[in-house]
Amino acid sequence: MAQSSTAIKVENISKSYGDFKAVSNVSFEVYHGEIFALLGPNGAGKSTTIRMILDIIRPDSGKISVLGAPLNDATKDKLGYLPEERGLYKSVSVIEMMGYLGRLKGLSYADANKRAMALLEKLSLAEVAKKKVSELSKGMQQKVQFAVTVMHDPELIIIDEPFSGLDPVNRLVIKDLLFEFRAKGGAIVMSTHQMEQVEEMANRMTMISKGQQKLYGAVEEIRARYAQHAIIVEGKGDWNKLTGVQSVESDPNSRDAQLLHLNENASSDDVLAAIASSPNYSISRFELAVPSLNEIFIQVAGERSE
Amino acid sequence: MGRLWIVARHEFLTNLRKRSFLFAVFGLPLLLLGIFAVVGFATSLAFSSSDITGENVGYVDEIGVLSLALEKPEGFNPIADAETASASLEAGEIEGYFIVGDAYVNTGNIPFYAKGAVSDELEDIISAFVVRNVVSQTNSTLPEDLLENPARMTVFLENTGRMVSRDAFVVLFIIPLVFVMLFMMALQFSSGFLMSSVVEEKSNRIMELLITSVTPAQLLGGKIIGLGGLGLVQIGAWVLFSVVGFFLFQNTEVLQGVVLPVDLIVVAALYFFLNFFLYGSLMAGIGAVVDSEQESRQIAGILSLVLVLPLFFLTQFFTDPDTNPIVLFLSYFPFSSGLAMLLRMTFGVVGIGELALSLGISLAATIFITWASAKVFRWGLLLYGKKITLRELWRVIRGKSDMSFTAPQSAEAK
Repeated sequence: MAQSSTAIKVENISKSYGDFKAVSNVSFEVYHGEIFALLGPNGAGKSTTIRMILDIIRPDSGKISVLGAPLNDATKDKLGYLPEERGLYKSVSVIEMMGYLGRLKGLSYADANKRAMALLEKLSLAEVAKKKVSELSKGMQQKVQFAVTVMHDPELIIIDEPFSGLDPVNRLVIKDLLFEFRAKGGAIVMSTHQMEQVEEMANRMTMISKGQQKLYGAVEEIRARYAQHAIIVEGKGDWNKLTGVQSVESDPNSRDAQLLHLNENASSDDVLAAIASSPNYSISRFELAVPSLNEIFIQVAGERSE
Repeated sequence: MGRLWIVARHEFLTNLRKRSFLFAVFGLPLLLLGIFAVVGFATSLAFSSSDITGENVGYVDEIGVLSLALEKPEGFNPIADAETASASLEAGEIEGYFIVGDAYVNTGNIPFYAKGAVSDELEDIISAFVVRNVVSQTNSTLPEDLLENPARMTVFLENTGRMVSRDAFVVLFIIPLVFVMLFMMALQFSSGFLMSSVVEEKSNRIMELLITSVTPAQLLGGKIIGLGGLGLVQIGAWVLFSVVGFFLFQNTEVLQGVVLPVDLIVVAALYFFLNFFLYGSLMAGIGAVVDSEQESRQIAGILSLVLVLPLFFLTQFFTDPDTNPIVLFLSYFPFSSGLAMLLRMTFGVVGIGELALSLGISLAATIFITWASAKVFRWGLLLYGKKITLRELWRVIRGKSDMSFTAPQSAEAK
């Protein structure tokens, strides 16, 4: 991945409300051409962090630069933001509202309308362009909101819970658009508490819990770091007697699977070879016990995500 | 600066098409016009039932100004007292009678009792007769202003008892009053729109999106300009209607002698400008800190009451527009001075100095409130589900709140 340039640089930011430390000493960088996940349970400080990046709230200490400078009128135009609590003007037509919001991002009148229309067509919403927002279904409204976020061709988009409330079909549509945006070199910050999405989409991530930064790095790297010296198997046989296996427990995440903890000097390859060479075993599943982000999350944050 | 105009244009255009606005512009004047038409029609019916000729008119002179009966018109005859005159009118011996008595000394009013309408010619004849005799009184005990402005005719219809002033009552009183009411309505409408647009953006969370595109100052300024422009359109349309209507019906009896109250229009425009900023920014500030449409409506309702406070003291404005302490207070208190001054100009005479002082206070208050509201506005934009105390607001206004939003950043970034 070409980590060509830095889109966001957050350095040691902290923010307190009275005695409550909402964010404490958080640092990270987001690069162009990647999806960066901002993970954490509700109330962890994700929204406060985003608001500080967007210059809605000032940090008590620390430094933030967006596209190379503190956020200003020029960089605001290169930034798209989709807040968690979505809202649209209800009583104006879709195209009119998009035109207005586009112009506020520096587009000309003609450009705003042209791009809005093109995006609506892409999202197969062209036929509702003249309809009032209040007449659209919820899924349609969410797609319109997404279109508003990217219509001015930003370099950086910040999305709070991108998939909440989307049906599977529209989820796919939005996901493809995000991938397309990333492929063109755009930077995406995705704030979420849905771990599967991060595993599936994000290149790098940071995890915040109770205002503290717990994890930071590439997603695969973090998962590998938390990988146990164990494998997950499904099949038949007395796993305790298998060479290299230290102990066996049933996998907490799967009904039929067993978690085999290995001896210090045994590798997974050795175990697989042992299974293959013995007639006493047959397997239908064999994988490294790399924890899901959810498990890491529980381990790190000491609390359950939703 | 460009963003501010984009916001202004958007607010102007979207609200222009709202049904409530269209009704305010076209519906209200039509409604008022309808009411006037009905009243005028009923009045004219009452008058036209029988027109008196003036060939046989009685008069009761209770104060002796007509004792010489200089240049007494033909058909005018003195009657000893009001009771006899009333009986004669009842019996049909005379067409009507007028009384020159205490009411005349105090107010210049001459009540005329008749069963039908009194023509302008007859009124002029009566006035001329009274005036001719009043001015001849060399050793007069009459008040001086009575000599300057000797007679004002008030006609009473004997059969209904309803008073119908001929002294252009409509012109002096109702037209400015209607105008003042329309002005207040325009103010309420546009500042109300301002508040609800803030509350809408806040409650549907589009605010979060907006402030990553514009600064709070651009947003507030754009809204005030856009909706202020809308208020001007509203007033402009009403003035246009009035002028067109005035020229269309200029020659009808009702509007004869009516002059457009130009001074009122100019002063009203000044107050509208100031009051719109005052109430508009206040409503926007409140819109930014309240949590729901409902709550904002309640507060807007209270503010509207303050705005029309002078109407509760209409009697004082009518009877004593120049010295009554309540009247004076209301005409300098910035939240009511617009309406109060317009009422005073309607009922009395307001000096330039007083007007300047009232406008000056209004200007100072407007500047302060706009400034304070802007601070509260930027602070409250993203505040949800929290009750704000007045103490907190005061801290925000003094710039001591710990939830600090950024100052306009462009200067600092460049």
